[in-house]
Amino acid sequence: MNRYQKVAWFNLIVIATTIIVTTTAIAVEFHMRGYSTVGAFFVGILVLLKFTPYLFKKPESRSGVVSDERDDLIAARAVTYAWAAFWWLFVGSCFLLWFIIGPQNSVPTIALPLMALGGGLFHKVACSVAILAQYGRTGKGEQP
Amino acid sequence: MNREQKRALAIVIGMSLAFVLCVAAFVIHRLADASPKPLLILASVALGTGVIVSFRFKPDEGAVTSDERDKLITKNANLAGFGAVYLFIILASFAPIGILGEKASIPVTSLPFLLVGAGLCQAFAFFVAILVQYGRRGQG
Repeated sequence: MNRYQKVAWFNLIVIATTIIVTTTAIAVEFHMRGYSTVGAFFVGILVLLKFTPYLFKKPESRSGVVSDERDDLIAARAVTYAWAAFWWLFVGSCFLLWFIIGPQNSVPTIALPLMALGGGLFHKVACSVAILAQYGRTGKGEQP
Repeated sequence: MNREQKRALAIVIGMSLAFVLCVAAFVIHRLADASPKPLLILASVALGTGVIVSFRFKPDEGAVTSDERDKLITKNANLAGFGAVYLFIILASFAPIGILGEKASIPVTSLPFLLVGAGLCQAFAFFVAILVQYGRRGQG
């Protein structure tokens, strides 16, 4: 498993953990109090995503090759796929809200930043999944 | 100047002109209470002309019309476009909270305008990035 794959798995695990923990916390507090305010605190777990350069360091020696043309192609394609998926989600969420709520109604302004956050997370997930899918399940000559 | 640069220049000029006219229409509507319709029509004409002109440029003559550098420039321009879209979405998401407040709400019919804005933002950033990467003068 190379560095790109490790980072992709790390991203997926952090995002999945955040979603599960935040949803559980909101559900528990909502059940106990009837409202929930703790959800925003648990989103802080996502800060871990910023630590990937320190957790998965590039080789410091001159002989240590970080990536080749294939890795770069996989990363570039993953970004393209992720952005395409993000656009579909963006268009879908805008029109889905229209159809679900109805054209006469309105959404709270706080929903828009949540949409942006959700879109950003979706982009990260799609990019990580695309990287893992392109590398495949088994190793193909990658060095650890 | 190659075909991509000419196309990018036409669209950037058209979009910039349309943006200026839209701002002028907004200002006139707010300050002078005049109808912004003529300026908005002009803006659409400017944008449409830019797009039509961009399609009028014929492909460069010769068997090879682009090389690795052109592909890299297009790839980087795409990345710049997507970055601009996300920046636009973040700004457009927080703007209603700043203007209307946290407790306010916005009509759901305004959400598709976010899509239009994001699309225009991506196109503008893409073509500007192409022009910037090629530079002012030809480089071979």
